[in-house]
Amino acid sequence: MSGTEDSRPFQQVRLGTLEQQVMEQLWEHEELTIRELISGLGDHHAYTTIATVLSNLGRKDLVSGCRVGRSVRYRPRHPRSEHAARLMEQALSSSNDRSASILRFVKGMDDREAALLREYLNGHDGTGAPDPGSAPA
Amino acid sequence: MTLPLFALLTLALVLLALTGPRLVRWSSPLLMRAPRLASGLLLGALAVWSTAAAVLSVALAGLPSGPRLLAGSAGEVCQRCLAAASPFAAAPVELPVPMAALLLLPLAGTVLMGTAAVRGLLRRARSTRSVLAEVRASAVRTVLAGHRVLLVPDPTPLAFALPRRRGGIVVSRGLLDSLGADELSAVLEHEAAHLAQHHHTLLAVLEAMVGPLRLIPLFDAVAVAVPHLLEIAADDASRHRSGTPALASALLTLGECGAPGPSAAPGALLHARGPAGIGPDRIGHLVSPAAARSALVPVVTLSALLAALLGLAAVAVAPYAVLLLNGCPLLL
Repeated sequence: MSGTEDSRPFQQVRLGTLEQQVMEQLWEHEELTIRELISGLGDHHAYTTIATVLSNLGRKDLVSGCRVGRSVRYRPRHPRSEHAARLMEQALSSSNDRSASILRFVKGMDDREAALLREYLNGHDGTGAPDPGSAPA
Repeated sequence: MTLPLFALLTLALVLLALTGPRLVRWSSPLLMRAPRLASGLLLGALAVWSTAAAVLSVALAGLPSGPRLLAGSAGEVCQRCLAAASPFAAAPVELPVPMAALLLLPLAGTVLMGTAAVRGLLRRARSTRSVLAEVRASAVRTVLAGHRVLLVPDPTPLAFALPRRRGGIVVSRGLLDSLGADELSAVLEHEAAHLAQHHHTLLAVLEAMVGPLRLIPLFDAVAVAVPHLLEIAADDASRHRSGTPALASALLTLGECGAPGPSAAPGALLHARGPAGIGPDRIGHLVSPAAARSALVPVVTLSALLAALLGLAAVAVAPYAVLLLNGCPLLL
């Protein structure tokens, strides 16, 4: 899903306040028209405002619209958890040169290190450690 | 005390700047035994080097030659005063560089570095704050194995520590699913150690000190080594509580999950600045600590070089300090 965006995904994932509110509505209701969104947000916003927000969200690959009858219905492209995952990705990738902000437990591992650990753990069978071979592929 | 002192100081500075990376690498078996002390030593090395470089520059300015710093008779007196106090040759030495430049160089350098550091810190704070605010918005605060954590609904197994005021330990739902109780506890102990030992602060200090000076090999080597040493320090705390096998298998599981998962970051991103062999070897230290004896010589060499640098800098700066305290000998 993020394959095409990996080159410059991150500015695009971050949401403004109103964008966040719109996404919350969409995640909650699965599918909404602009009118429904406006009333869901308390009738404070102009039609054009919400339309603009939705087109921005579309550009950020977060929302897709499909025409149903005479109205366009918008739905989130990704479930909330996946959006959270992308945010995490963003936070962590920015920590690559901002280690002072985020200290990761482990950032990937090369073959040698994995082999060292596996060897060590094989030598420690029966210590209660779960089988390391069961790591998800 | 003449020019040899000056030459010696320059030599020690250059030597340390260039051989620093090798010394740090060779020292690592010993550094890894006491990672927190070692981090302090390495940060201290940077401080000593910078100080000595600044002293050298100022002392060079003390060589009575080149355009005067002040005009008129005040300048004359000042220059004689400096000459009287200079530890270097009494005979004027012609320098191609104006004296003011030598005096201003360390000052300008300090100001520039300070500005760069502050700007970097602010920029970092801003950009991470906005992302993390969103991460936190989707996270649930909970208690796991006695640690307060933020739990995010991410299927990728993840664990990291934010500065305490930004939320502290963050783990993902995927982490809970992929680790056993022992392993989870080991991970949490590791992250808790980062917080308890103020590693975020140390790294911020490191970043502020290194900044643009990363071009100097010594600074680069320290900037690479210290984060690894802090991971080792956190590992040590975790092993102490949860045992090495639990930590090792957690590292293996998460390390292998670091490769692209269902919605994970691309592997290239994660490995881009990975630990591969540059800094102290965290995994190697965990499973089979290297004999520390081989590192004695480089550690002693490094310490001796630093001590020499500090000593030389002190000798060079002492006459000026005396001058400042007692007043100019010509005016007495």
